[in-house]
Formats: sequence, structure tokens, C-alpha cells
Amino acid sequence: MSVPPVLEGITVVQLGASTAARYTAKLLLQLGAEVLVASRGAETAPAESPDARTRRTAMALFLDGGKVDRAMTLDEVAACADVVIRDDTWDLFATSPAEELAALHAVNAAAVYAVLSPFGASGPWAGRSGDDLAIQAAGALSSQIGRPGEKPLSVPYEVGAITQGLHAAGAVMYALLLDPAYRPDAPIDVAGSDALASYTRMYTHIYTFYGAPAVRAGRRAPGSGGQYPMTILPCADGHVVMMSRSRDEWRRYLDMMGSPAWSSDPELQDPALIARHHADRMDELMSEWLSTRTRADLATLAQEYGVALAPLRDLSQVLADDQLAYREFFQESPTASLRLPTFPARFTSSRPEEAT
Amino acid sequence: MKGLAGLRVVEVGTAASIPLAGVMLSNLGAQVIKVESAARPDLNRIRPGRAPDPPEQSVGDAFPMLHELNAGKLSVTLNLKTTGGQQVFRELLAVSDVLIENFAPGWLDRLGMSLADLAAEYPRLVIVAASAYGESGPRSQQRAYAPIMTSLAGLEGLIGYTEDDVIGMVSTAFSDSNSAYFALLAVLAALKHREQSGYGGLVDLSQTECAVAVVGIALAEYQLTGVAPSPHGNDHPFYEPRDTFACRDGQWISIAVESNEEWLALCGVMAEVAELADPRFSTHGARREARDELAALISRWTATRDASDAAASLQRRGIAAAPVLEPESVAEVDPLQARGIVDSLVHDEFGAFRTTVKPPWRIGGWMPHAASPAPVMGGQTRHVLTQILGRSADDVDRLEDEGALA
Repeated sequence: MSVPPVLEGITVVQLGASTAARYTAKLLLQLGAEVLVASRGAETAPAESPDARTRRTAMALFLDGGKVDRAMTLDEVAACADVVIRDDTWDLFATSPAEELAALHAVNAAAVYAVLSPFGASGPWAGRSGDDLAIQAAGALSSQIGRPGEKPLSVPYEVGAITQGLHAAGAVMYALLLDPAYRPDAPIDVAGSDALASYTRMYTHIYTFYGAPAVRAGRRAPGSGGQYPMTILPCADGHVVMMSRSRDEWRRYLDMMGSPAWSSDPELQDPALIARHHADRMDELMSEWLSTRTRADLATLAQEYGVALAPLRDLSQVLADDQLAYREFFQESPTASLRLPTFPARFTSSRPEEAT
Repeated sequence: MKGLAGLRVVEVGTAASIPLAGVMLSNLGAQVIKVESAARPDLNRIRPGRAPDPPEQSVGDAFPMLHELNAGKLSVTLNLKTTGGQQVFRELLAVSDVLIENFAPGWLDRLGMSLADLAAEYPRLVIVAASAYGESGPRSQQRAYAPIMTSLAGLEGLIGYTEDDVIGMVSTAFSDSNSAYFALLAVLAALKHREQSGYGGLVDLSQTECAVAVVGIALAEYQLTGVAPSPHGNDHPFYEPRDTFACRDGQWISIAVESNEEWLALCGVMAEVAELADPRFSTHGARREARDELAALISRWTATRDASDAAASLQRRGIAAAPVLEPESVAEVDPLQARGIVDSLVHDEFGAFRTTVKPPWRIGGWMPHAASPAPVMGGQTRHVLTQILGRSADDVDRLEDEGALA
């Protein structure tokens, strides 16, 4: 057991089909709650491309395993729900979320009610439509991904909405910790754009502080984040990511590369000076050295020399990872022959009879 | 609403992930005591100098991220290699609810007090150890930075313009925030467990596993198809078009169309680009076939408008669209500022600054917020020892003389 069933006895009703709402409910399920998904009954599947059908199946396997579908009225929701997760893909049972919550609270005053939307329930963008790309755009994440001057990119596979769902699960858990008499009498409002914006600006301080504008800088962080390298570069069979945050770490990089002749240049012995003046030149020198080495060779060398370098893995390599296997991170899906991620923490209770 | 008021958290953290979890707990009302030492200060207190200063001249507390990640905390300096320092540390744990830390596994063992020992000694304490790979396993002793973990998790390799043009997102250091959000959830869940059982426990959180957890859809898709996913720009099989487009003001806009109804609405908004109404584009499949042609036509329309105006026009017709905001504009534009994302704080030495790091949810119009700037290192050592631990002033002087509070 990786996580204690802290929400055992708690019933979560999911009113909606957005990725964010589904991931919120999935996390609460992993923490021991029962999750009921209000369903509309049999629906005709839309005509879709094979790619879309596969994606929809993958999403269902990852997001919905272990949940129970059930057609429900508002009275039925109120009668059983300790937590309601709703989004705008499911029609309201009342004229507003506040009224829907009032109806729930008339039956269970301690019920927690969270509303997920792309841009939130208040402010000038309230009620606007938005997909995962839109929340990554409005949350300033996309502005940081891509090459300078070229179009902004997004993180695929709904990672923006997944982040929103993670925050919403935190918000629900926070509300459940409150004394039932003091639980919120208003909806918990979790916006995808807020979820990303609250964080994205923070890291860009590093770049602007060191004089590099916080703009897309391709595979390299703007200004190398103050110390070279903080970049992805190609190698013989793919790409590696490289980091160094001190002169000691950079010295180990140089040792790993066999202390090439150019490394005697004093300017090239300080990662902060390289970041300021020589990052392009150093990318070329590093690329030349990397071009004859594979990701596996480089990972071995990185361990030998204690440098922060890692291969960009594809997902087959992730599933075969020995560390993840050792920790039994993947679990067989009960409905398909797939291995899927579990909750990323192991919990050992201090209660003597539970301790392992 | 400060729901965690009365809760005390001890943080032994550096850089980003656990300090970020700590600042969110502080935002929610907990008292967060950051334990530091002169020998191992938080990385964000010792960043190298910036031009024209030499790199070896550290910028100290002037580094803005220090304040984003540590607002509202108290700072205590302890030398945990001394008997006195360890004793104070244990006294602090005895009166605290949560310990969060993100150093490499084994650091406490080397000081003679393992995580398991602390869990046994303080059974109500919730301990969250957030390491790169977890406390156990063949790679557990390795250190890592955020982009290393997202690369090993397969995330960086999914991002790029095309299959052969991987870009990644190293600048976002996504792993730091992602693992902090999981750590916050883990702390709250463990506190719920304590509420029911009376016992805390040890939460062994792997930051790499946190990164793998968010690519679950891609992992499922890979196992269904047998084809390892690769970058495809902003493409998504449910939508067409779905991309970012350049606007007149130099900004960009995201546009995504899922249904044929939305497509017709888009054609209505972009009526001046008559070619879009061509029946050749009337189905999702046909639009995917003509993706490049469509992108050029849509770009003709966006190129004559500012991003925010274009997004508003499309949004009025129910089409998913948004301007691509820059990080600083997050703190400027109404939609996000009006939601309460931005806090303004004043530091005694560095003046006014804004922070946006927080649990980004609103409850009845309230959004958690930072209460004060980051503390100077050790700024509250004497206060904590005398007011929370009940040590006398003379006793604190003695500990200082012994080097236990350095």
C-alpha cells in the first residue's frame, strides 16, 4: 500500500468530464475515497478518427479506472456526496453553482463543493471556453516553450489540466481538514489559468535577474539560468539534458570530457561567465563531443563523474526503469493489460500496528 | 480564512520544491519555521553575482526567487553537527506537526537521527521527505535538478515542433512545482490520517515519480499502440485547428476548435477570410488533412488584430482561445490580477516586490496569500528559542557561544 486510505468512507461525486475534474477525482480515489461519476446513460460515441479514439481510450484508462458510473439526480447526489467535483461539461442541477451547493448543504452542511473551469468563476474571463492549450497560454507556460521568434508550444497530453486537477485535489483535502462547522459555504473555485500562472512567473525571475529576458530560448534556459549549462543538446542517438550550478560541478563536466585543450581558458572554467558570454560557443563544443556518444554511454559517464546529465527518455524506457520498478511505482490496470502510475509517494504510518 | 492556523511546520529545504510546498502551507495559515545553517544555506541565498559584479560575489538575499519561495516563514539557524543544535532541532520537532525536507536520502542518518527514528520518537509528526528518486532503490542516493527528473520521466522528450525537433521545457523547471504540489497534497492527506488515527508518519515522495505521474495518459496511449509518443507541436487529435498564431501586436493567441459547430462559429468570426468557408474544410478529418493551409488562412486573420481582441472575439462565439501571456503580464492583466493571484510585499532592504506563488484556489472570494517577505537567515532564531521552546536568553547566548545556532 503506497497511500493510506485517508478518505475511506468519503464519497466523491464527479459531475463533469473535463480532464481536470477527472484527475481531481482520481487522486481522491487513490487516497481512499469512493468516486461516483454522474452519467447520462448510454451515449452515442462521436464519429472520430482512430487517433482520437485511441486518445479517448487512453484517457479513460488513466483517469477513470476504479470509479463507478451512476445516473443521479440532485437529491441523490445530495444524499450521498461528501465532496462534489464539478465542471462546465455537466449541466447544472440548479440555476447556479451557488444554488447547487445550497441544495447540497441543505442535506449535508459539511459537503465540500469544488468547481473547475479554464479561467475561474470570477473576473473578466469567467465563463469563457478553454482547452488545455488555452490555459497553458493564459497561464504563461506556453510563452516559455519553443524557439525565439517561433510559435509558442504547449506541454502535450493535458498536463495543464492535470496540474489544475492536482491543485483542486489539494483544495478539497484542505477543506476536508477544516472543522465541518467551518467548511466553506461557497464553491471552491479552481481555474486552470490560475494554477499555471501562480507558478510560471516565479522561475522566470532567475532569467531576468541575470539579464536575460524571460522569453522562449529553445532548448536552453534563458541566460542558462545564470550558470552554464541548463540545456538540452543532441547526442549520437537522441538528446541529453545537462545542468551545472557551481564551479565544482562544471569542473566535473570538464573532467568527464577529458579536460579538452579549450578548457584551460580561464573564461571557460566558470559556468557563470560562460552563461554570460560564451553559451553559444560552448553549445558547439559540447555538441561536438556529445555527437559520438550514445545516451546510455553518457548516462554511465555522468554517474562516474557525478555530473547532472540525463538522457531524454522515451516512454518505453520509462516503463523499463529499474528505480521505478524497485519502488513498484507502476500498477497493472484492473481493466486492461497496462501498467499505470500510482500515487508518487509511499506512506508509513507511525501507528505501531500499521508501521511496516 | 486561514484554515491551517495553529499548525506548525519545520522546513529543512533548499532551492525550490520543498520551499515551495512550505510557502503554500504558510499561505494557508501554518507557522512555517525554516531551519537553515551557515554551512548549508538555501541555494537561493547564495546565487552567483550578476554582471557587472563577479560571479563569486553572491547576490545574497537580493535574489527574487528567495522571496517568492519563502514569504511568510520564520528562519532559525541551527548547526545540526553540534549536540546543542540537534537538541534544539528535536525540541522543535516535539512541538511541531509537520517536518518537510528535500535533501538527498541519508543526510539525517549521517547526523545520527534517521527519518525512521524521528517518526518513532515523534509519532504525531507528519514527515515528508521529497528526494529526487525516493528514499529507497538503486538510484536513491543520486542527486538531480528539475530538468533531469522530467527528462528521465519522459516528459521533456514529448515537447517540440515535430517528431525530429525536440525542444523540451528546461526553463520552466516543471518538476519543482509539480513535486511541491504533490507534497502539499501528501501533507494534507497525512494530516487527515492523523486526525483519524492520532498518528503521523513518514511520506517518502519521489520527485521523479511525481513527473511520471502526470504523463499517465501518454503512458496508456503508448501501451495501447506500441508506438512511443513523440513531439507534435500543439496538435491534439480531438481538435482541428489547434495551435498558436501570431497577432498584430507581436503577441500570440491560442485557438482550438473541437466540433463542427465551433468551426462554423470560427468561420463567422473570421468572415473576412472567405476561403475558410470552403466546404472542403467542413469536417474534422478534412481540416486535419488541410492543416497547413488552414493555419495560413487563420494567420491572415490574427495578423490584423491584437491578441487580446482576437481572443475576445472568438470567445464571444464560444471558441476556446486565449492570448499567450508573458510571465510578467500575469501580474499585470486584469483577468488574473482580479482573481487575487498577485500579492504585494515590502522588504526592509530591497523594497516593494510582487509575488504570485500560492495555492491558486478561491473559496468564497478568498485566495490564500503571502503575509510577509522572506526572513533573513536566522532572523527569528532567538524568538523561536525563547518564545516557542521556552529557552532563557542566557541559554540562547550559551548556545550561540557553542556554535550551535550558526
